[in-house]
Amino acid sequence: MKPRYRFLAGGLIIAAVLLLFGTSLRSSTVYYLTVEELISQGPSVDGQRVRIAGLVDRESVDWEPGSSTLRFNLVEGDGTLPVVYEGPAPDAFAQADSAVVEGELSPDGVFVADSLVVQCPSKYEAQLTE
Amino acid sequence: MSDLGFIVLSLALATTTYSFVGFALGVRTGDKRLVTSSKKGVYASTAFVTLAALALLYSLLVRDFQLEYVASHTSRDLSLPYTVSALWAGQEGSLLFWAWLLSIFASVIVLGDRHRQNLLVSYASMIMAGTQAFFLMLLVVVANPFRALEFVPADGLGMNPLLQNPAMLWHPPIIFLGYVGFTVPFAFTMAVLLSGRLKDPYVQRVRRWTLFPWLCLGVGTILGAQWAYVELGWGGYWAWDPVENASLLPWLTGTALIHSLMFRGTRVRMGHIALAVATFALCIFGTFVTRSGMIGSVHAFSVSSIGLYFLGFLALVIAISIVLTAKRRAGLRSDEEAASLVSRPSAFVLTIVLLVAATAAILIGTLFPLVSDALNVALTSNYFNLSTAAIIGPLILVMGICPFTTWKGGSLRSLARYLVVPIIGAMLTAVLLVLLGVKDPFGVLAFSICSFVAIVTLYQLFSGLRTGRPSSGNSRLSAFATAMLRQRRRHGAYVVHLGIVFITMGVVGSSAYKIEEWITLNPGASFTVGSYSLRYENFSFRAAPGKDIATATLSLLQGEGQVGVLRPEKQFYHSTQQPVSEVAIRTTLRDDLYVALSGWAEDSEAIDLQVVVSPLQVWIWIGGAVLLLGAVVAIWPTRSRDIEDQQIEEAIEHVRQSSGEGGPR
Repeated sequence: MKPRYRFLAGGLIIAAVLLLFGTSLRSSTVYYLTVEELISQGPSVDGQRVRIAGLVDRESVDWEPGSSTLRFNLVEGDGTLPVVYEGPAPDAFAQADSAVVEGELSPDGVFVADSLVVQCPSKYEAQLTE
Repeated sequence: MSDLGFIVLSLALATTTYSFVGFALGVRTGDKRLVTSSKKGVYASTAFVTLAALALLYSLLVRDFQLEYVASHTSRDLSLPYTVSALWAGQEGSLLFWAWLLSIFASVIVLGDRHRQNLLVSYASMIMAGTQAFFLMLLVVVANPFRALEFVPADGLGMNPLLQNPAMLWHPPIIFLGYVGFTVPFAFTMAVLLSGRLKDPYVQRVRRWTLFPWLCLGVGTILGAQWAYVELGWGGYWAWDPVENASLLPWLTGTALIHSLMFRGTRVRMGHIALAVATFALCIFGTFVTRSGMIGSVHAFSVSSIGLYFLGFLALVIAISIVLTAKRRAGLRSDEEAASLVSRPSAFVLTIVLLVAATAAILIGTLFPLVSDALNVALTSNYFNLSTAAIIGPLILVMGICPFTTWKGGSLRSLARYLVVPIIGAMLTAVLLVLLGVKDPFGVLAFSICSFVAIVTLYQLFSGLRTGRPSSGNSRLSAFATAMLRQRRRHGAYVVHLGIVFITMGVVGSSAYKIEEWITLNPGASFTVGSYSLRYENFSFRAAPGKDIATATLSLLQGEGQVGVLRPEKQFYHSTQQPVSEVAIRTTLRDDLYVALSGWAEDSEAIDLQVVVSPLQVWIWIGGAVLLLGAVVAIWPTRSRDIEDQQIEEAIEHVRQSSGEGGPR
């Protein structure tokens, strides 16, 4: 096989991979905003899938056993975002201080999430005491 | 114990640094006594690091809470196996564990050279001593596992309940063995470049040292997935988390490295260097990811300055590799023989290109969170699923065609002749799947490719085994084993490929056909999911040592009668107050039924359940076991008689290839 063809074959493969890569990149991105950014963006993200990071307001956590619906507020600075998540809370949610949700903002201002990822403070950060 | 531990660590750092300098000066000046003395330094360092590891283990076992590490990772009620696993459960301990494994590898390499003084081994030992010095420096300067508290706490903080799972006894050490093991091929690659002995038999030297860590990383990754599946309670096994990707990335480039070592010829090539360096760099990157917390991860390790040291070391490794390669580039020009497009070399090149592409795609996705904040854009797991499916799909297909290609290459027509039967098999599979009601084209295509590759691989495997030497007086099993081990690298590779096919089947089935439901059940009520019915029998709450356990009892019905009882639990550890799900899983070859108890109402005893039907899930674990088996066959040490056999076969193969006929093998 002549080197020319070899380069051609290699080029084709790389082009195909890049094409697949590009298309998958386009369909796999979401807006990633903090609570304050979401509030300041207002209606521009209506109906779009977004991912929101914020702190969990522990006072607001409301989970009715037997209904599989979790409600809580994500807060950041002065901003508060009410979140509804259909499904059970992950085990780590009980101790989580921050969370990342993904879903859509409904017109009534409640964020309807279908994904909830929590970041728990590693318990090793707990202080050893005498 | 605190002082003793720190002293032996410091001594280890001193002896390792001595060896590093000694090897460097010794090989430059040709001073044999200095090299011999440096080798003794390697043994001494191994002894010191072993002492340090034993000292930490002893402190853990006797609950010496004076040590911060012991107090932070154990408590009085922690059981013996998990107390031992605390050795690698935390940052300082895992770094010490890494250094200990590396010191053993270094000693084994030096030991293999005890009667000679091979220049390459001396250079490789120098590189390994340099790496070791970096880790020991971390242990002495920033991550001292023997740091003492100013007071002695009454009890330790205990171990995170999520880590108290049998998988945690095996998964981290095996992953570490893989990470550390890839230091050896990297060291020999650097040795070849440093010494300028580009014509030395590089391939033979690094092959086994590559297979072993590759095997460890593969098995360790699958064990990690199993842990996530059983313990994390979210119904999946892989989330493209940075920590998961951390072990997958070097495994992918390691796979590419293994394939690059199978080209004919024994000398080092540019591709070997690039892949060996990339694999080692990704191993360091993996340790960095798991230990720095710089990339947001659901694992949420604590953030620390140690990340910067790792970044610096990584930059140094890559810079040195590039400089050395550039210096030797004239001698590295490949004497590529011309082969046709349909040939073994091009199949291997394609394999390597696809593996590297997969690595790049996953690496980009893993690093993306670093720019997410600035761009206000994040990647979804869809990105990983799509890009790997698009790359791994063709890769699996190549795996089915490759065995029929020859080194010299042939025409497409001669290849097609061999592919008729497997293609018919794949088409039959497709028809069968459509008749069984599988509608989506992706699934039909994926399973057809799997059956195509499985047919080819099984045919290759059994035709290879059948033509083996007839054995008299042996049992069939031992005859099989003998035949298997005769051409162990080849047969091992086919078995590994079969394992990959199983894993692919499992991944496709469990991701494309997964059923997931959240339901609420009152006592006595039933629920149907897939072909299963669940009836909620009763609920109980009991106290166990150190924790309270809520259990729901469910009868599992299928068709006519009851086929089992499932008892998903939720455990509340007194120490952490964090609930931990103990899921109930019923596994069959066809699918897994996975039930997690997510909550209950105090008054009515109504329960919330997460129910997942995960088709073909068990094939991922079966595939992992098959992969392990195949790799063990390929690595199995060669006895002298077998070497003879192998040399004869290689000679025959050589004659066949050069005379131009040959046919597929």
